[in-house]
Amino acid sequence: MARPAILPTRREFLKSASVAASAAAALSFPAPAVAQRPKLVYWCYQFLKASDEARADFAREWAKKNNVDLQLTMVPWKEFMPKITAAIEAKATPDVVESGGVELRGRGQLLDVTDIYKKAEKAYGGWVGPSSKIMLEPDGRVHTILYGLQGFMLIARDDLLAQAGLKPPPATWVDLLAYAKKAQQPPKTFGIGQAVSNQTDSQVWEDIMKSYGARLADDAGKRVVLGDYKPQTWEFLDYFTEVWKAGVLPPGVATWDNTMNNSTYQSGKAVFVFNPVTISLWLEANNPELLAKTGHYIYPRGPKGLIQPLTYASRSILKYTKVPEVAKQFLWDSMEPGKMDREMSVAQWGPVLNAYLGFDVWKKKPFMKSLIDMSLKGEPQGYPDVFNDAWREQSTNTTVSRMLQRIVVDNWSRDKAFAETLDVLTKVYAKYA
Amino acid sequence: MREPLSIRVTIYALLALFVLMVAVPLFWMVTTALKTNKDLYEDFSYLPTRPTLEHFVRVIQREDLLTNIRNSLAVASTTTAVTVVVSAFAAFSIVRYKYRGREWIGRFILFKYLLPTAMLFVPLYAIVVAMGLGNTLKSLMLTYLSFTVPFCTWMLMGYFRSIPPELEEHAMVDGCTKIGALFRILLPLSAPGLVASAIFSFTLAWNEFLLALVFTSDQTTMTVPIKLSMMVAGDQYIWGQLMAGAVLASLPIAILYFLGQRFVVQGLAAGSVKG
Amino acid sequence: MAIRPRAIAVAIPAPAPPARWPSARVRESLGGMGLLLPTVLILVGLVLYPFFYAIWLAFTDKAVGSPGQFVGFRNFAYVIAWPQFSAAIFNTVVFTVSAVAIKFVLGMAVALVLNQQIRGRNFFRSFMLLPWAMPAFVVYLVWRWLYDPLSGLINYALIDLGLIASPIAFLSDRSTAMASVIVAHSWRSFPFYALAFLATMQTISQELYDSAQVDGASRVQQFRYITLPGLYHIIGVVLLLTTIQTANAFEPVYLLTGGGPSDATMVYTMLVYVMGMVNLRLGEAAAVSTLFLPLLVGLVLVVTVLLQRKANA
Repeated sequence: MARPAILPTRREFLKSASVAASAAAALSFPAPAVAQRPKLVYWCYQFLKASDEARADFAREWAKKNNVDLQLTMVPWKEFMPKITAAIEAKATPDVVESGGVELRGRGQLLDVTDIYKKAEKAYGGWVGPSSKIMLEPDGRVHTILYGLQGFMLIARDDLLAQAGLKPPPATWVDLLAYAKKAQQPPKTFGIGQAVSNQTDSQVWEDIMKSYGARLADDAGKRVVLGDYKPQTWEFLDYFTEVWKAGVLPPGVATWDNTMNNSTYQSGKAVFVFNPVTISLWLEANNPELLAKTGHYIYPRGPKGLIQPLTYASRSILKYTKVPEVAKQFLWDSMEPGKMDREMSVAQWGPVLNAYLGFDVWKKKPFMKSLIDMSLKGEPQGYPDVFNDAWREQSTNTTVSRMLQRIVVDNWSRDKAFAETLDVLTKVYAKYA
Repeated sequence: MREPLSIRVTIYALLALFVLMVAVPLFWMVTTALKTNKDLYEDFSYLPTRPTLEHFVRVIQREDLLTNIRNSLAVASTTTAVTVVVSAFAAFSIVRYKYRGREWIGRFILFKYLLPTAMLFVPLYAIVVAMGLGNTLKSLMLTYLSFTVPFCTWMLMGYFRSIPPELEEHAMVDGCTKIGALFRILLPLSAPGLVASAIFSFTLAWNEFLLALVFTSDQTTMTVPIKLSMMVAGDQYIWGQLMAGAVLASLPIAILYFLGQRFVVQGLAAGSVKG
Repeated sequence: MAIRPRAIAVAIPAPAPPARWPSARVRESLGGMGLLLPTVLILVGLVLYPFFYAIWLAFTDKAVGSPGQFVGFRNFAYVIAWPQFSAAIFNTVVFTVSAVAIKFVLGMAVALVLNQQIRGRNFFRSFMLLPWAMPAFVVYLVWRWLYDPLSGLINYALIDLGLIASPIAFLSDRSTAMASVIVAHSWRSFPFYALAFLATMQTISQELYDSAQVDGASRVQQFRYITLPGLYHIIGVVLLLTTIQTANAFEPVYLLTGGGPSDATMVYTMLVYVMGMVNLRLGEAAAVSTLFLPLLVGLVLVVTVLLQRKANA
């Protein structure tokens, strides 16, 4: 059958087009059946295994008890913002999240939960330390519920300090440097395992700078005033330069990420580090002998006083939720003291409600005691600057640490570095004014 | 013709140098996976003092990495299959048909790679969710096509061009349809090119990071690179487990390349001469 | 039916004009376009649409969660005045040019060696492909660990060999950071060059080399007058593709240095990431991407123009 077949028949064209069409059809997804039970999408904060598992397990049990269809996702804190960004843009948001409370609040993404705040305050003896300050907005409303306080504390090798004839804790930053110089034995051990990099662990330097009396913006958090604090900044820079030149910082701190101070301390190579209690929890599981030699203290003081910044863990509900009552119930049940007792014994948080102060864990684990100390004496992150969008942006961009890097990595003069820092801060704050 | 000794020595010396260059980091990866934590963090040693499989066991049992490997395999295989089919059709269309505009697509298809994923992933995610594919492996299978198809199409274009069209025309005279000629003549002759496309596509899909990070949320959908990055949870590195996971993540690809390397070379060969 | 790929002289009878359809050419065109349709859909839906959306973003003040209003060129002005922007341009150019040059030379050298008659050739060819086959996350993590000043192999080896006295913080020192990132990236990506060159070298007939040998040409001359000309086309394509990909590289910097120390390794993709994913200012991130497009297009044009010249020569 010699039918000239150089030219396509109708059949052939349809065949090739149908290939395209069926490929597209195969990729489309049938609409899900309408759920009988309410569905709760919960993004669980992932940071420390035991703590994460405790929260996840509670959520699963709660869902079973309350006949809720739970979709649980573990989200590491570092990946949270890209994920929630994409989810909001695509209008496919979760119901409950455990990160980004203040950021999302500032963008009006959260559901009002003032009722839960007030209920907890009444039922559980009031909020601890700066918790209320962190949660309450100027108009008295609350959009995120704290469930734990955390902060960087001073973690120290008490044994090495004792060997050097020193009695911890160092009271001031200057004392810290002196202790570090005396107790270290490089290259086996370095005095202070502290990052001076573009990662947020480097923010300790901003806290130190503030304890020397400097601040970035005014009380309203709108106008940059650092330029008025040049003498205090210079005093701080004197201190920093001394630290840098003393050789107490291990090599590589200029590109340390947030894990390096942990691993440096955990492998016994640092005398002092600043970190949340996650190091101690790791040591508890992996190296109890080292934990036994470790002391936990709050920050040393600066010339102008103590700046002990606190961060927090909180739960929020996205305002787009289709199950607000279920979500609120979940938040409320999550605050129940019995449940919190079990959780906090494996977690890294300090107590947010007075009802939690009586837990055993504070007594059983010595390192938890400093958590309480910190929770009571601490201030919200950024203090005395206002914790707002502008401060947060300059903080995640490690502005102060970059100034320090300009001086010691790029050999800029102080004036040049300071001018650039002022410029950057002004530009950032101007965006949010 | 016999090579002079000096040339042979040079060649083998260079070969040894290159092999060493590739081997050292791989050696480091494998030995780290086999070292105890003490060897890793406290007392440095080049080789494991007491080789242990504990990291591998942990990573398979506690982290359930095999599920993620299965996810990656599913995504990579499907992406590859669809890519090869779509690219073969497209290349055939551009090279063997005549219609307006085909030259332009052929010329500019590679321009896709000017656009980084960091710029495109937010709108891509919106599309994926609009199609109801949020947190599914299908979302990856679809979006990965955007970077596998252009390159494979280009490569197959070159490959098809190197095969004389007379063979298909001869068959069509004998009663075969044009598409029939594609399946009966051109594709079998292009086997090396098709295998090469498949391997490239598989590699790109297997290794992709950013889209998988945003599109997948849990263990049922996470691919291996994402799972590995999740293992760097919080502020703790677990090098032993990470490297064990890295070894497991690299094995399927390594095997694939050892088996298919010949085809990749052949596949690129014809495509690269004229193009 | 398997047909050996040899040139066959065939007489094709002229096709009879078809009876049913309006035009033979239209039918054929439709058939061809039908085959191309899936690819076109992919390019339009997954490439063009997101691309134009991203450019539109650059002209808005869109941040995560807020709707975003048109703000004209404000983002562009902001981004250009940002201290790290000029560093990003410089670093991206330095990184791209150096990395491409190194990978090119290394890839060519490896391809030349693997093209020879050596024992175990197949094994070595597969082995040399491994750095490119492994996930990038894995590769850069390993290199991170290799470079570590306190626990890394490189420092220990250098100290044991007596070459240096105390550890070098490769990734944290301004003088070594960029070079270290380039080295790690080159290790990962050179196999693609080697593969492409090797594949093309295989198509160059051995007879050419043999007769050149007889004529007394040295190996270097053989390379210059036989190998290299055969590679012109693939070199052009490889340079084009990989220049773009290298300039768009994100994982090397993100996983090794995060842009540091200071802004020593800040490349443009890292800046886009920080502004978009860390600061959540999508408009600004999109502005950075858009501003770098001309640079990339320029690179592409330069390479393709050079290619045309060579091809016409």
